[in-house]
Amino acid sequence: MEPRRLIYLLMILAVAAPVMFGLSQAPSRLVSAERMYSVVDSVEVQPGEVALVWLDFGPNTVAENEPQAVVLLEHLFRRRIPVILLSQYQQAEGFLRRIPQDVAQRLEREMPGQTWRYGEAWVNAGYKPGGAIFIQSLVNAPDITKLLGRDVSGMPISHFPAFASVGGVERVKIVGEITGLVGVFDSIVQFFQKNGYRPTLVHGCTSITIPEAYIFLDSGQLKGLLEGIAGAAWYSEVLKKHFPLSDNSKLLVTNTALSAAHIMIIVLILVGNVAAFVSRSRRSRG
Amino acid sequence: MSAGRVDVRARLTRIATFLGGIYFFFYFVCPESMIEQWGIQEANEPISNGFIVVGTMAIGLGIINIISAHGSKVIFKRRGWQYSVALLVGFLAIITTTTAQWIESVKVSKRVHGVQVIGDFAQRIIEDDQIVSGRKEGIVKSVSPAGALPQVGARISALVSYSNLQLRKINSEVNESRAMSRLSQAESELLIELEQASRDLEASAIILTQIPRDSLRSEDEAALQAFSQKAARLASAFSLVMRKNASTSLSQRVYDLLYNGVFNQLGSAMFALLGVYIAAAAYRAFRIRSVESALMMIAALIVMLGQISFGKHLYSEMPAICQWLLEVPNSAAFRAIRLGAGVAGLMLAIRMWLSIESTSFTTRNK
Amino acid sequence: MDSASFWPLLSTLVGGLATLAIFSFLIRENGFYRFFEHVFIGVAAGIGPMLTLRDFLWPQIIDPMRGATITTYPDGTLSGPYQPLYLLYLVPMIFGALYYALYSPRYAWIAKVVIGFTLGASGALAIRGFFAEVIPQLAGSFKPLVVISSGVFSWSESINNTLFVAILLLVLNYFFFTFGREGSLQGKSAPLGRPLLMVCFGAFFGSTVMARLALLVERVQFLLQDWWVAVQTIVGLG
Repeated sequence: MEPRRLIYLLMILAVAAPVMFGLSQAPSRLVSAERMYSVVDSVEVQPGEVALVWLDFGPNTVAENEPQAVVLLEHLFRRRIPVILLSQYQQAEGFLRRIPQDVAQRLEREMPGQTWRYGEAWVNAGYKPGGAIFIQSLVNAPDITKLLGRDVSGMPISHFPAFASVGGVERVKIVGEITGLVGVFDSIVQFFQKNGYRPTLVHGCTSITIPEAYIFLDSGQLKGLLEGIAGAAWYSEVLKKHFPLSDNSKLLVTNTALSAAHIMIIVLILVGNVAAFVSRSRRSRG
Repeated sequence: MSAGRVDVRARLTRIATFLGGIYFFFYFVCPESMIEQWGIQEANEPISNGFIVVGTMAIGLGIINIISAHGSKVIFKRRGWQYSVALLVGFLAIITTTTAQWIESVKVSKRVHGVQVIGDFAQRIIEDDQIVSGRKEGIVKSVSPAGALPQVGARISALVSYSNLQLRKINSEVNESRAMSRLSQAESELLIELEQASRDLEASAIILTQIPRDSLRSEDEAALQAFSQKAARLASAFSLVMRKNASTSLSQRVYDLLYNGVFNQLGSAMFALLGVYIAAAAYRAFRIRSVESALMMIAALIVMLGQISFGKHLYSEMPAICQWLLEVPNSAAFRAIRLGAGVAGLMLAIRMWLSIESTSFTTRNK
Repeated sequence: MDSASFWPLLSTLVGGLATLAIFSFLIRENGFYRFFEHVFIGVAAGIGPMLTLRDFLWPQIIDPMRGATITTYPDGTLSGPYQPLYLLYLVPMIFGALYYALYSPRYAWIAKVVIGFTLGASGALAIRGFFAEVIPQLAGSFKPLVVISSGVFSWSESINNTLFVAILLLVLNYFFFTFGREGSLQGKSAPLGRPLLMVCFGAFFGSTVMARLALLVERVQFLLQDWWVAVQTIVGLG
C-alpha cells in the first residue's frame, strides 16, 4: 500500500476506534466555555424579552457548530428564555428546523409533563439575506418581530404569545452567534448595537477561528465563547453538573474520537520530522 | 468606442457607487434625534429592504450560468455530460421540492391564519370602538370598502358566526385526524388541547351574543377581551397541530430527504476529506527547519493538546497553558494584525465608495 | 415499516451512500464520486435562490406590494388600507434586474452601474463597521501595566498585561513599512515581531488541524452509528 493511503487508513482507524467501542473521556476544562455558561445562566430576562440565536452554518462546519447550537439552546430552553432563531446563511435552513426540535424532544423525555413547544420556546424566522444591511435594519426597528415578519411556515411571528410584544432591540437580552464564518460574526459584532445598547453576545466558533475570536473576548465585545467541539463538550459537562439528567454521552464520544485523531496527527508530525532528520543527516554524511 | 461614451458610462457608475453608500453613511453619522425627527428611522426598514432587493435580484445569474454551462454540455454530449445530467437533476429536484414544500406551508399558514383572525378581529373590534367612542386616542385602523364601519353589534355577530364556522371545521379535522392515522402520545395531547380550546371559545361566544348593537360597555369589552385571549390560545393549539401535520406531508418528507439525506451528508463528507488530507500533510510537510518553525510547531502542539481530553493526562496544566497562549501572545499578535487589516479595510472602503479605487469601473469599456 | 420511520431511515441510508461515494475519492477519482459531487453542486446551487425567494422576496417584498398582508375580517372590513408606497419596491427590483445586462455584449456596462451601487453600499457599511469593531479593540489594548487588585500587587496580571502590550506593539511595528526603518530603533526592533507572529500562526495552525479533524470525526461517527444501524435495520439484523 502507498504510504499516503496507509496514512489515510490509520487516520480513519484512529477516529473509528473510540466511536466503535464507545470510548469516552472527560473533556478538558475550557475557561471560555465556563464563562459562557455563567453568562447565559445569569442573564436576566423579563417576560416579553427574548434571546436571538443565529445559526450561520452549513454542512461544512456542522461537525463543530451543531453541538454548540445544541448546548446553547438546551441551556436557554432550560431557563425558559424564548428564542428567536434565524440565519444569514442559506445552508443553515435544515438546522434551524431540526436542532431546536431535537433539543426540545430530549428535554421533554428528560422531564415528563413539561413541554417545550414551537411558538412558546422558540420560533424559526428562517434565512434572512442582506448581511450587515439586514442587521442594522433589525436593530433599528421599533418592533423586531414585526420586522422579522413571518416564520418559515408563513405564520406571523407576532401571533405567537411569547413573541407578541417583544418591541425594539433593547428587549433582546442575549445574542448567540454560532458560525464558522468570520465575516458573518464580524457583522454581528459591528452592527448589533443601538444607541450604546449592546446585548450580551456569546459565540460558538469553529476551531479554525478560535485565535481570532479571542481578541473579541479580550475587548469585552464577546462575553462567552465555545471553542469547537471541545468547547461544546465542556459546556455540556457544566450543564450536566447542574442538571444531572442532561445526556452528553454522544458528544463525549465525539470529543474522545477527536482526541484520538489529534494524537495520531501529533505522532505523524513527530515521525515525519524524525524521518526527515534521519534522511538529512544521512545525506550530509554520505 | 468613443472616449466620450466611455466617460459617461464611467461617470454613471461612479455616481451610482456614491449614491449606493450615501444613505448608510448619513444614517450612521447623523445624530439619533435628527434621524427620528426626519422620520428616517421608520423608513429605514423599507429602504434597507430596497438595498437587499437589489442584491437578491442577482440570484438568477447563478441559475442561468449553471443551466447554460451544464445544459450545453448535455446537449452537445461533451465529455462528462452524464455528470452534468446528475447536476441538473439535483438542481431541479431541490427547486421542485422546495416549491412543493413552500406551497404546502402557504396552505397551512392560510388555514392557521383563518383561525388567528378570530382573536385578531375581536381585538380590533375593541380597539376601533375605543377610538370611535373617544376612550382612546388614535386613528381607526380598519377600513371598510363600503365606507363606514359596521355597527359593533353587526361586527360581533359576524365574529360569532365566523368563529362557529371555524370551530365546526376544526372539529371535523380533529375527527378526521383521529380516524386517519395512529397518533403518537404527543399528537393525541395536542388534539385534546385543541378540543378543550374549541369548547372554551364556544362557551365564551354565547356571552358575546348578548352585547348591545351600538357600543361596547366595559363588561362587554372584558367579555370580548376574554374571547380574544381564548381565540389566541385556540389558534396557538391549532397551529401546533397543523405544523405537526405539515411536517409529515410528502413534500416535506422529500424535501428533508434531499436536504438532510443528500445535501448535508455530501457537504459534510466533502469537507471531511480535508481531515484525512491534513494527516498526510502532517507526515510530509510539517517540518521543523528553523527556530521560527519550531516556535510555530510548539504553539500548535500546545493549542491542540490543551483542547483535547488527552492533553490533561499528559500534563495537568496543559489546558491552562493553552488558555494563556490564546489569551496573551495570540490575542496580542492577532489584534495587531486585525488593527492593520482594519485600517486597510477602512481605506479600501472609502476608496471604493468614492470610486478612487478601481480603474475597472472607469476606463475599460467592457 | 410506517412512514414516520421510513423517511428518516431512507435519508440515513442515502446519506451513508453519499458519504462513501465521496470517501471513495481517497482511493482514486472515480465515477461514483463524480456523480455525487455533481449532485451536491446542483442541490447547493438550487437552495440559495429558492430560500431567498421563499424567506425574503415573497413574504417581505412581493406580499406587501400586492396587499397580501392585509387581512379581510369576517364583517368584510380590512385590517388596514393598502399602502401604494410598497410599489416603490419595483424601483430596486428593476434596478437590480440590470445585472442581467451582463449577457448582452453591447449593454454589459449597465451591470457595472448596479455592481457599483452595491459596492458603494458595502463601502459605507464597512466604514461604520470599522469604527464599531476597532474602537473597543483599541480601548481594550490600553491595559494597565501595573495591576493592583484589592490593594495587592498582582504579579501575574501585570506580567500578562505588559507582555500583551509589548507583543502588540512589536507586531504592529513589524508591519510598519511607511518610513524610517533603516538604522532606527523602530527598524532594529522590527524583526522581533516575526517570531511572535509565528506563535500566533502556530495557534492558528493547531486550530486548523482541530477544525478539519472534527469534520472527519462527525462523518465517521455518522457512518458507524447512524448509517450502520440503518443498514442493519434494512437487512433485518437490527
